Amino acid sequence: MIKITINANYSFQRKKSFASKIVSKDDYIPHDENNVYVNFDESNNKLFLVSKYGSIEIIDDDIKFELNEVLLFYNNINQLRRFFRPSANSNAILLTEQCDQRCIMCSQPPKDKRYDDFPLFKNALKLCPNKSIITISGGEPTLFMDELLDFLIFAKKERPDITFHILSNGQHFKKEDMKNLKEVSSNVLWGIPLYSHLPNEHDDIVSKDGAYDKLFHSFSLLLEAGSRIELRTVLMKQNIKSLLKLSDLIINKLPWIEIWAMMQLEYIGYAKMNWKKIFFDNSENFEFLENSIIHALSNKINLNLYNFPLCTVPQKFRKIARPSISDWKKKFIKECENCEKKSVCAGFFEWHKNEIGYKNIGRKFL
Amino acid sequence: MTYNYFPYNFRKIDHQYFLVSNISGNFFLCKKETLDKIIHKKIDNNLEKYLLQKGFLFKEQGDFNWNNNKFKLVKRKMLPEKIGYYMIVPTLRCNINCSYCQVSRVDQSTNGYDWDDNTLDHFFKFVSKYSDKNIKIEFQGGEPTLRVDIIKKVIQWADKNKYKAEFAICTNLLNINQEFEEIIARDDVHLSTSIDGSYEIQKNQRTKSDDLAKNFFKNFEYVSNKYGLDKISALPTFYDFDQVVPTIDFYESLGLKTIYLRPVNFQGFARKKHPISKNLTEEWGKIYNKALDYIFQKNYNKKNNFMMEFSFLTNLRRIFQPGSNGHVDLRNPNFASRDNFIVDYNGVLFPSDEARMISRIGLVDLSLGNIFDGLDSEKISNYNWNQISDVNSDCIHCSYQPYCGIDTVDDLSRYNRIDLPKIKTNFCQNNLRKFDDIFSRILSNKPENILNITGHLTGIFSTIPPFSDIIYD
Repeated sequence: MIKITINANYSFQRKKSFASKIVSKDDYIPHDENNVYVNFDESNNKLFLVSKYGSIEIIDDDIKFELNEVLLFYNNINQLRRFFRPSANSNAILLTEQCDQRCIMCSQPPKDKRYDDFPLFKNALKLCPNKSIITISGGEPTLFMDELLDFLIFAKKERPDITFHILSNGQHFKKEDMKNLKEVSSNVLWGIPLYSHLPNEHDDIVSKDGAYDKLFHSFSLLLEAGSRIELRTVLMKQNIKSLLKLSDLIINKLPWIEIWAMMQLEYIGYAKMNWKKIFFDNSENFEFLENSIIHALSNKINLNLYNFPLCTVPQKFRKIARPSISDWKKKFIKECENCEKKSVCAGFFEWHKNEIGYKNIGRKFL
Repeated sequence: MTYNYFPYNFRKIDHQYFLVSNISGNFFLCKKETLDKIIHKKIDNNLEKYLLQKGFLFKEQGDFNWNNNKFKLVKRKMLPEKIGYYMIVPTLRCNINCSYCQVSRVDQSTNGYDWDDNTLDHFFKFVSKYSDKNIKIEFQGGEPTLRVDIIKKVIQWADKNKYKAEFAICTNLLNINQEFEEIIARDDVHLSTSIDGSYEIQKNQRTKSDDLAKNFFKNFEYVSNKYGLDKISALPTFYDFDQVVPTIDFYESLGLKTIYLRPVNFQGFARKKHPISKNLTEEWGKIYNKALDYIFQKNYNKKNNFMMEFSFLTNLRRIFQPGSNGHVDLRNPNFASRDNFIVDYNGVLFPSDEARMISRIGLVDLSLGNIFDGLDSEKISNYNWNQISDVNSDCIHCSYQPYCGIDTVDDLSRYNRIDLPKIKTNFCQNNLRKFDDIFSRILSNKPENILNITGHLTGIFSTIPPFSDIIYD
């Protein structure tokens, strides 16, 4: 597992946080705080990062920094955070752990913690490689809607090549946000969950009354703003039976979305707690999915399967299964040892527990 | 507050059911009693709910339903802003003389019908000006492989200038030399050829000689074995309609996955030789429907290697998949000089291959400029005004208008005029029949129809229908 938050022995002559990019020692400019270089002391087997403010020693083991990686130095807590790794399949800003929904499968249950430091993010953004894609997640990032939109407008002006993938529950868009939403529409893909065509089924899953109605109010605004939407539907025992009706709703009312993602569960957080009540094993029964997939594809909805190991999906549907699990929390299990499809397979979440997971790995659909 | 209706049309499909479709192409099927309720605006709660769900109603301009319909409407009519498709004729010369040659051709030894360096140079300048980096270039003829050197130069130029290009070469496959094979081997090169049927038919209609027919099938086998059947597609032309079913079988035996069933299209010089073609619409329709049944039944009895029929696919996509606007034979608006051009052997620009043919026989000059002097914008504008079905007084009353296309060139070539009532044209009759057939198949609820509809739309042949709630009662 790749570590994102890293501990260090700090001795920087600066207490405020700052953003910096890893360059080679030859390209290092000593008076510029926006660059650091990696120094490995072979005799003592110690890893250092050298900045204009001095050098710090990395405490955690097995850290492999990359050239052009962007780091955030949190000097007051002796930590640094990997903001952008060029080789990663996903780079995310965790904005906050606060949320106004309590989804029964939440992988990251809300806490009263927030990490929004937009001035710092703005500096980091300027250092990212050309055409970077940055995910913004939570908690619920749009709890700070004004600051978030301000950040996106800044990004659009300073770095129009960078695009964002923002995971939001779609509960907080207002008419007043329209102007800004329009402005950033082409640079942002909003990942927004919809779990059912039935308002009460959706509301039950997110544990919030009226969430469905609010969501459709938001959809109306987002459509008018020309926003790009990735609709996300986590599949569970709760909604699998009505999945076909959901595909009809999408065909009729949401054909303008860019992607519809059907997603498998992540065994962590509330999902772990509720696992037996919610986990739907698609390796046992693919019928509900099959019906819904056929509907969506026939009507040219750009449907993708996220977090599905390829061997749990019938051959004919594998072309829509994506290697969606971020590299830092992805693993392969014993059964995958001789599999040739690993490079195109989503694999498993680091915390996946095989005993209670899919019953037919590598068997049923071969 | 009561709801408003988006404009809609309806059409009788069978003795019981009507199709109701609106301007965005949203549709459903219902019985006459339901249709009456809608027409007289006496709908109950259930029907209102259904109409809302299907996108037939809105409360006010700019509300969610309004914007949703607007999205679909635009999607159905949107054309690319840049020219992405060029069909070019590096030479008009050909080494065989098919009996109904579609395109005008000249004998292999004739002088003055090839591109020269100056033409190439201006073509490159034209592409640089009117296209972005995603282009597709189709080499037509004549027989383009008589000028492999030009094909090579075009590909090298695209490589050098970092185009994300695809190339299609329409060839009779009679000459595969080393130079041509180096081109074939590229992943971005696709071949297209004509196969009218088995050896005898191919000989009679195309090659005219035993040796050449043998040579053709030998080369076809060589290419498909070495590079896979994805490398090459084939088109039949039916002169004798009794040959349709045997040709389907023949295509299947060759391993081909797609067949395009179309009657011989007597245009260009061919029309002078075969004046009978005007009245074939009805006869062909019957043959076509039977042939579709034949393919569908075959697919239904198969586990894999399913076959698709291209014109069914085209019409079907226009119904279910807004945005399928890439096929100039069936789209609306069907503007020239928006996303594709034909560049003739002399650098003259045409909106379509058919336009090139009827211009060449002197019926009407449909050229829209040339690559040396640029575009004739006045002519393009005049042409385009007749390529919009939304302003045609016949089309606007038709339930299939959101799905159908418009093709003034076809009208011109058949009737020498563009102002016949559309219902009297081959284009209209042919597509009415095809759309009627599709909706009848949907209503039939036969598993072989569902399997083929789903299969054509998704590539996944399954008896799961691609729709669940499109029949109201």
